[in-house]
Amino acid sequence: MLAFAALAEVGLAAEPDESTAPVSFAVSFSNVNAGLIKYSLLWTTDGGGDLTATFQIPTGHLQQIVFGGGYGGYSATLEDADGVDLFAGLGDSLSTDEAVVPVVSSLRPMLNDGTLGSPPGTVTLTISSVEGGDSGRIDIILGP
Amino acid sequence: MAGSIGVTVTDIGNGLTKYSIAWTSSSGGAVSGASFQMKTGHVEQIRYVPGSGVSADYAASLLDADGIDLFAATGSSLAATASVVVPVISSNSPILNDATLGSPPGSVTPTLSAAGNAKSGRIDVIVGP
Repeated sequence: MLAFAALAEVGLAAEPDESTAPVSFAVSFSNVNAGLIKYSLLWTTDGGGDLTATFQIPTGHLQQIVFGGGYGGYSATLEDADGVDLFAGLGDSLSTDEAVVPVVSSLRPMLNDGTLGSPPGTVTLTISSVEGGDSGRIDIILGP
Repeated sequence: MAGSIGVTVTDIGNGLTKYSIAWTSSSGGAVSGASFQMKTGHVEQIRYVPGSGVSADYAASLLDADGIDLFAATGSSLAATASVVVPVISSNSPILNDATLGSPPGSVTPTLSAAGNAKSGRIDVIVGP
């Protein structure tokens, strides 16, 4: 059984931009089945097409990531407190809706260590190179 | 013994135990000769986190009582930035630590080389069922 992290602290920071395009970020989570938790990240970038936001996820393997949006050529990373990309580079150049599993070997998906960071389990989502003010969704399925 | 280590053991949930090894190298860039005990289980993930100024291509291993490298050579040439790996010994299983080996049982010995003069870093070993 996964331990839930408190999601009260969700930080948001976007690089200043001349445009006044809105920036927003929201995280919701739900139990989907068999000990799996889905974190659904809804994002909208600033006028420069960038967004940086922090939130917390507990210990567990990243069983699947769905990059939704279908925008051409944007990039997404999810870095932990050590700067390790939990997407394992799979968000480098996204062009269409895509479901992936970030593996660190031929047989194991990426494991998030929910004790790292302050508060524990803090990770940072970075979106770049989208057209200004565009939005999308990333679903992270976390399991034991 | 060269250099020094400090080991913190944490239950991180889901049956996983994290062994966080904080290391400091000798003037020759080495760490060796200090052991700690690790439970029986598969090594689910290793996180190599070099501190400031650690030389690229430094090397780390974790030897059990038989001299088997529980890092499965994933630490043979490490980058100067943080990275994570799973040490696999076949196409279908990560390496398994046998904690009945050694004295006291489960003794393992981290060994580093070429890390630079008096540098420091951290290695997290996450052991599961």
